[in-house]
Amino acid sequence: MLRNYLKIALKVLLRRKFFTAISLFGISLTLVVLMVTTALFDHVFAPHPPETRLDRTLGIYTLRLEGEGSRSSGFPGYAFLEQTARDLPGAERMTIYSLQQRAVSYPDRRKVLSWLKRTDGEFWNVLDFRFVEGGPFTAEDEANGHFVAVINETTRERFFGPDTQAVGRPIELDGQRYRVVGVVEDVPFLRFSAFADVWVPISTKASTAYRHEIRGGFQALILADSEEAKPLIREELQSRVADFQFPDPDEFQVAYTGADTLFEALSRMLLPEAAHQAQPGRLLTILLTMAVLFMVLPAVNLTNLNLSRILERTSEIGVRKAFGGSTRELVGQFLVENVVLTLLGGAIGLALSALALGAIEESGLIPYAELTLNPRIFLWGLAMALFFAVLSGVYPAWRMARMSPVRALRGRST
Amino acid sequence: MIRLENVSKVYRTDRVETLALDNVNLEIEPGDFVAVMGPSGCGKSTLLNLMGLLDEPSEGKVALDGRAIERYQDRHLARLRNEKIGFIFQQFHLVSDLSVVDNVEIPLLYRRTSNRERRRRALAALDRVGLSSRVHHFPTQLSGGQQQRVAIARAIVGGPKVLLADEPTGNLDSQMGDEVMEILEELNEDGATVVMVTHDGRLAQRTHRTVRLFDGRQVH
Amino acid sequence: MIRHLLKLAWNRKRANALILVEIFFSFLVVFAVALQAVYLWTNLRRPLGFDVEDAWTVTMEMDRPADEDATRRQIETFARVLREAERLDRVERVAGAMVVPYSDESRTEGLSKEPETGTAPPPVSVEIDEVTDGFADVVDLDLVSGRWFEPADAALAWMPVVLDLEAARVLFGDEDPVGRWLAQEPDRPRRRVVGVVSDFRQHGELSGPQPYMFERVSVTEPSHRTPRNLVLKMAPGTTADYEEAILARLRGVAPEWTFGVKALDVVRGTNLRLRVIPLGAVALIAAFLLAMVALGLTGVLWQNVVQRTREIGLRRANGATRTAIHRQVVGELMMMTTSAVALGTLLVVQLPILELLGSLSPEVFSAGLVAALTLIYALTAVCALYPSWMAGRVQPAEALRWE
Repeated sequence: MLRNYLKIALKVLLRRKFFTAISLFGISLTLVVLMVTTALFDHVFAPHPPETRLDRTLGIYTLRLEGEGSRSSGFPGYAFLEQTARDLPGAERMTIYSLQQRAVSYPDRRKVLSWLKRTDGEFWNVLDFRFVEGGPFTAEDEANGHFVAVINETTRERFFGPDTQAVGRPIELDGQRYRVVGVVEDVPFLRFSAFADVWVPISTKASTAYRHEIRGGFQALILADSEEAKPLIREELQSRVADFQFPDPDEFQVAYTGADTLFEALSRMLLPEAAHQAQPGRLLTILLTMAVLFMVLPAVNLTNLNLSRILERTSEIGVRKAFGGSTRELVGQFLVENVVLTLLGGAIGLALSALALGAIEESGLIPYAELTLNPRIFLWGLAMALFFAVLSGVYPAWRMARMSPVRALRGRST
Repeated sequence: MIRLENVSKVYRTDRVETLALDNVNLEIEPGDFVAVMGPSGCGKSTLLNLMGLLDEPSEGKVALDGRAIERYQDRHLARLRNEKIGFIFQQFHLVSDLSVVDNVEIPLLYRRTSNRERRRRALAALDRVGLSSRVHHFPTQLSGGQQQRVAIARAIVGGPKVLLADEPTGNLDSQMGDEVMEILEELNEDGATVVMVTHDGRLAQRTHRTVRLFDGRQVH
Repeated sequence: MIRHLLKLAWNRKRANALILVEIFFSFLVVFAVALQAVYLWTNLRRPLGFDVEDAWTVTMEMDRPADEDATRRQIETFARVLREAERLDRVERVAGAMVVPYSDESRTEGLSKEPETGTAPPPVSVEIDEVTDGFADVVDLDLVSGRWFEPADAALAWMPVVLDLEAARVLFGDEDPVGRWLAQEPDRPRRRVVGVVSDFRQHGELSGPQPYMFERVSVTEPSHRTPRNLVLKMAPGTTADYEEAILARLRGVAPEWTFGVKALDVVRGTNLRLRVIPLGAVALIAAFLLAMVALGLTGVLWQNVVQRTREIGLRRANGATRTAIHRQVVGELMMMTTSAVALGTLLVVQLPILELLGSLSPEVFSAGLVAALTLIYALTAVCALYPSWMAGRVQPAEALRWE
């Protein structure tokens, strides 16, 4: 039965090649956009080395301060994190690190720009880096202000050439000299918490002003004992934030932040209504709405094309119905055609997405991007294709079901 | 007026070759009223298409109003059809999205006529077929007989010398059919050459002569 | 013929509704992008007001001074840094500035002129940069009237300022601003205009017009804020590795400060990219939507042609040439496009009327509108090509044979 449907479906689609081509083009183009977006999303939010323990990880990513007549939205300072994020109940480990910044070096009379991140010793225990040489620096290094550095493979190649050992050798950044103690695999740019080209201890910073700043370019990651411990951590942090003693009570009186997932933090940063409290649900709704709106146009066009395919065969449908063809069979036939069309378009879309993602990787727009189509993304793509098939088939199927055989034979489709 | 010399027409699809007309010779004088009869599939419509320059013969020659039609470009054929021929079809083929008078104007669109002149001639044609009261109606609001009369008005609005009618009464009951037949007779009396395909013998009798076809060939 | 097509299109309005809606929305999208593009392009063609060829910038990070003593020490360190920078052999000229050209930072104030009589006119937002005397030379400012700052100004009891043409225009209109006073603001010294330079667009070639003012920074006055940047005019041909030498020298003078060096060309690159990328993203999305609409349009037109095969056959039988049929298909679409864009134009014209477009000049708006209209007409014409060709190929004999 199914094979019959398939044969007829292919014949029908080949009969009107132009229509089919347009439909395929439309579906594949829409799917490419959706798949690339999904891949980027997955790339940012899904677990991926070195952020392998995302289910147990919470972060303090943003800080909003309000006072009478002034407000500031930005990132927490070291002092703030020291006071609120240390020794939270239910937390196995905690790390404080700075946001990555550009550092300049002049090896061999060349100018090299690297992304520099300053971290404490625990950073390497919370995140799961893959070392190809040596190892991380420790909390002791940080406490004693040792000028040591961990670099990524690309940096090793830039400074020391390909296929060399870098551990033990010196590297100069922003006029400061460090000794390389470890080399790690490149980390993708979109893994914001972990990403850098070079990691050094916080205490190597030239000015010590950061120790007293409640606002500044720092963030913290908290590794919970278990998933169940997360609500405890969130609660405790909230109460600490609420009780926070400001060094300058005249400037700001209230602080807003939380132990968030990355998505929750994103909602704080993007939505004005999430200034005080993360609104991940709202952000998700907005994104989904945008995705749906985005798909409306292609869906409408597809529905239209499908409808015309049906109307074209009005007399054929009339004949089938007159000879006892049930509506169910006819709708089934139509759905198979639809699914074949969309799966075909989906396959093309998948191939094009792979190309597009490869192009993005090559272009270097997102440094160290590893945008591959893992099975998860592939399944999403399949789901979206099928969703389109169903969506664009409902109305035409309904029209077909409603056709009276008598009128259809005369060529009238209503 | 119309002459067909040894005309044959072959239709070729992917696998099948159909001989629609086989060596037909026909001569129609100006002012003639000719009926073409024969069973279904015998090539009557093909004959009409060739006479109406809607198609080219595979073999043989077609001449219209003294001029042989050979290797004419689409433009020239179109102009000839526009100026000299009026078509009347069994299914009327009226544009349902246009009013009656707009439908009748169609042939004049493809000539250089002013808006006013077009409207005048269309109304005159509609008057000729007795439909002046339905000028702004839409085809779906008319009976079968009225629709065919609109089609006739459209066929004559350009003042053609030849009227080609393909089963004009086929979709009408006998009374409406008679009305249409009467109009065709009047037009013929006024000087139009009429060629009508039909399989109604009674109607054929009202014409000057009948041409019979069987399997693409003329029979007597 | 046109009337005929109009009647036809009007009578088929229900069937044509989808096409109209799609064209309408694509017009809006195209207009948004075109307006942006035209805006950026007009900005690009205006003079910049400065030249950063061979100009480098040194950023200086310093702790916030805790008290007056610390502030004084900071200014003194700054003066030393300035002198040391001048001594470098590949550095031709040096200036200090709070904000450098192409940077994203800005400081704005609402300013107005001090009136001869009565109250001051409502304040206008002006961007301000605090610079040292060498600034005009380093970035090649174009003096239009009056003079630039000079060392003798240190003895003045008031603060000299230099306006750019845009600021002079909005603050003083047609009057000559040189020698005039600005209305006194609380906590600010009295300011007087000593000169006017040509339009200065700190935010780069793609930014819109912005009134600008320069305030004089004194390297001896401790009450002033220390400029955060140096701007250096380098000897032509200086390579990037010289940055190391600069940093080493300056760090020697102020070891507790953090220095960074960048060629202003590089800052310009970042600035341009930041402005172009959002437009690029929007254009990409718009292109996708247009592609979708184009596909939908072609599909619907094609569908139209298939459904009206009999009508086409009929017209051909009645003397329409292939060209006439092409023209009909394209003509019908053009009419629908015109109605859709007419509605769209009506809508977008509300924007300037309701003053939602702020500083956008009417020329930019009209240019954007014309560009959008052209694009949409071109798009729909292209969409009509294949369907119209197919329509022309309809064989009347076959089309009319159907039952």
